[in-house]
Amino acid sequence: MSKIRQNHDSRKANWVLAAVAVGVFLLIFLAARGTLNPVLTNSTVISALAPFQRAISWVEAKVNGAATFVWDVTMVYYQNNELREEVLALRQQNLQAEEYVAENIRLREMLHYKQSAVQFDLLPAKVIGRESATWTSVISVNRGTSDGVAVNMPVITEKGLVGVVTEVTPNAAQVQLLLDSRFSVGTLVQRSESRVAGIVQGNPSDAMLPQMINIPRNSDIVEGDTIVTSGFGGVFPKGLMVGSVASIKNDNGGLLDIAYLYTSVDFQRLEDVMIITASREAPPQPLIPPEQTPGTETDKAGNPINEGGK
Amino acid sequence: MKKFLAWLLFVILVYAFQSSFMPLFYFHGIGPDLLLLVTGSVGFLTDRNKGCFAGFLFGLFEDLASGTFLGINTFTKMIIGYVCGIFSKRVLNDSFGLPVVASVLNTVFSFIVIEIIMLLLGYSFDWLAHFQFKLAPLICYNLVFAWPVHCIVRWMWNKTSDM
Repeated sequence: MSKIRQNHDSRKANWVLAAVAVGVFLLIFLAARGTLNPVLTNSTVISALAPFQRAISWVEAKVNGAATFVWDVTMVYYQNNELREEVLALRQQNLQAEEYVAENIRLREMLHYKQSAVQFDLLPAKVIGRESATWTSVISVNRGTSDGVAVNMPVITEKGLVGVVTEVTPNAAQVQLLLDSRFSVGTLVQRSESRVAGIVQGNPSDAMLPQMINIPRNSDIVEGDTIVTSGFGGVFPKGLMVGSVASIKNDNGGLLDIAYLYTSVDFQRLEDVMIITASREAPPQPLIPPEQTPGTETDKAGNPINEGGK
Repeated sequence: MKKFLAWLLFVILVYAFQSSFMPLFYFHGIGPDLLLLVTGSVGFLTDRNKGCFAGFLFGLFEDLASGTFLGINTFTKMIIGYVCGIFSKRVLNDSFGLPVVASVLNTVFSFIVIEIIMLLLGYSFDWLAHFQFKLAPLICYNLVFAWPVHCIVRWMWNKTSDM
């Protein structure tokens, strides 16, 4: 009897639950269309929930702050590593760019000189080596016989004389510098009222100050005078800048003077040079007609023209 | 009455935790549905009538608190509570697999029912995108939280059974 009653109650409960489910299902559609106002409004639940949400939100903010801090520190670590690598790469790039800029300036100056020095056939060359023990005396350049280079060809930069080719191979050449004690070149003072001649050669006592010898004691050479090649001897063309007089000293014999020179070329920073493969006389300056003296004008037949037609 | 108030406080705390703390771990705006897991666990620990009643109350509370379509969570959760309650006497409540497997089935069922109701209400959406971007992360989250939530609910049930 009790089992039948239990089944009956269970069936009744199922029917109630089904009715509630259907009721809730319908409630969804009624609420969605706004035709139902629930007794227990959202605001009541929300206000009851608010203190708990606020408390948990505070905890969440603290946890979030701590997590963000840890995350930030980790990110900073990785970013720092990345930035270090980037800085290294940029430094390398910057260095390369500076190198290009310097090379560009040098090549521009050389090109400018090449365009102005039309009397020379110039072959650009790069310095590829220096004698490590005596680097102030000899350099190697990346041009050789295959480029038309031969022994005794003068080597210059846009600033002046560098030296002379002494050894040549097919792809490289050795250049004896102006500073070398074995080097000598005929020179003269550029100043038009002086034109004193002498021989410039390397100075064994101070490699950076070559000396000009064979200067007569009564010559008018003074400190600051510009020294250029004289063209005597046939190896070096005339007019190449050598340097300027730094000081003048009496020779041991007392009859001659010795002038010590500041070289026009900075041998410490020698990277690009030009080899003079051929030279000829400089073209004559264009003739500029002298100013006409007033009152001396003539016509085409050579008859003087009087002013006012008289 | 004490028991009711204790469960009310528990549900409020769970919902506050879900709405205020869990957004920290949301994936594309999707987080775990802790009240769904609580409903399933209550169903397993009691019977179908109590499970259904708990689902009704939890769902109603969620509807009112979240401001969604009134009745939508009430309907799904009362069915879930009822179905889980059917299995209360047929499965081992302490097993790890039960709440974990049930969480997946409950999540899929709840999601599909809500999608159907939305369609009946006249809303149109991309089913595939919803499955991919809403259901999949929801299943993952509920899988992770199923066992801890079940343990907490069981502890709560044991504590309040004496009241």
